[in-house]
Amino acid sequence: MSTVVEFAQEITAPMSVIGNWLDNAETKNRVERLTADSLTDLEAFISNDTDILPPRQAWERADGFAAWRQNYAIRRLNPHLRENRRRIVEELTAAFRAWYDDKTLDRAVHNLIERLVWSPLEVRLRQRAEVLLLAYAVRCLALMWISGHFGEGLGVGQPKRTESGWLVPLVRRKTGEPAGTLPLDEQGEILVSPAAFRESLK
Amino acid sequence: MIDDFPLIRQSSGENDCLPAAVEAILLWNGVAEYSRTEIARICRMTEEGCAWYDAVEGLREHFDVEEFPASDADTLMDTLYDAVENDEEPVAVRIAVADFAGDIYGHAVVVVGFVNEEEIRYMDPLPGQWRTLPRAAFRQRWLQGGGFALIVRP
Repeated sequence: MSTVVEFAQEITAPMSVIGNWLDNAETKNRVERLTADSLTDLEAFISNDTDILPPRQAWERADGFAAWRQNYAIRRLNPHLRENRRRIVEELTAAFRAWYDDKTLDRAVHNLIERLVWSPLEVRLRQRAEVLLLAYAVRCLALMWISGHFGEGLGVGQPKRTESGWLVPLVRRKTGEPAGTLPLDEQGEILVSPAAFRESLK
Repeated sequence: MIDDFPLIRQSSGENDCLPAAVEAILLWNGVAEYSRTEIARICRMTEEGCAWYDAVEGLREHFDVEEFPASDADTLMDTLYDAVENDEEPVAVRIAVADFAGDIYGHAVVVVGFVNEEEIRYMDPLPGQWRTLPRAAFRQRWLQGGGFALIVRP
């Protein structure tokens, strides 16, 4: 019996050391900073990524741009997130070592950081990436439509999500005044004819 | 790379970048009898600028116009390369540009060459100057603007 208790203590004691470390104010601040930095990095990565191309084909846009988003995730987003995870786990493991120098805990620390820090952060990063990617796609589709049917005098602002799709605000280049909104559905199809939209501009 | 291409500036405060681009192409071809106003009329320019489909239709009535067929990004870039580097024909394209407020617009420019195959060189009628963009950045902005491109011959 005593062997079982000793064995349990061997496992739970390190866990409680790691738990205490994760719970201290310095670690919490560090995790908060890493979270904020990761979100900022992600936004910069996506907004500066010249490899994102507009979803021009219907199959890319079907089912809420599913194929297009998946393709981007495989090619660009997943490698970015993997690098982010590596950096965070490395930094936090090193911070733990500075706080409690015991190499035998490395594996347990690594696993807990993955589970308690990275996993929820990854969910947030993927959600944010989805918002940015969809807005990019919808905005491009609006500009392509404006470019084909109207011209350089109308600018395209940031799309806003609605219950059934998107609304994209347009502005007049010369004056900066609003020029109406362009409605799109979930697949990025423009829901107004060029003639009807022209009429609305008058 | 196309040599001796003219630098033409669009009218201040106007949305006549496409007519200015066409004017430059016509001048490069030795045709000087069309005024900017006349080309803008041919391009069916309105208060909103030049709708690409209307402009192509109008230009076809006066010139030999070859429009790039809609295709994937790589094919479009290959077609552009062939036109400017192999056939030495300037190509008017519409790219996306952002203003200080972050709104994006279409903007017509004329591609005249690939620098070391890694950068695209074009005449930008907004300042009436040469510009270069890395290949990937150009491809992205071109496709954002609709992937439109045309060759105009007198």
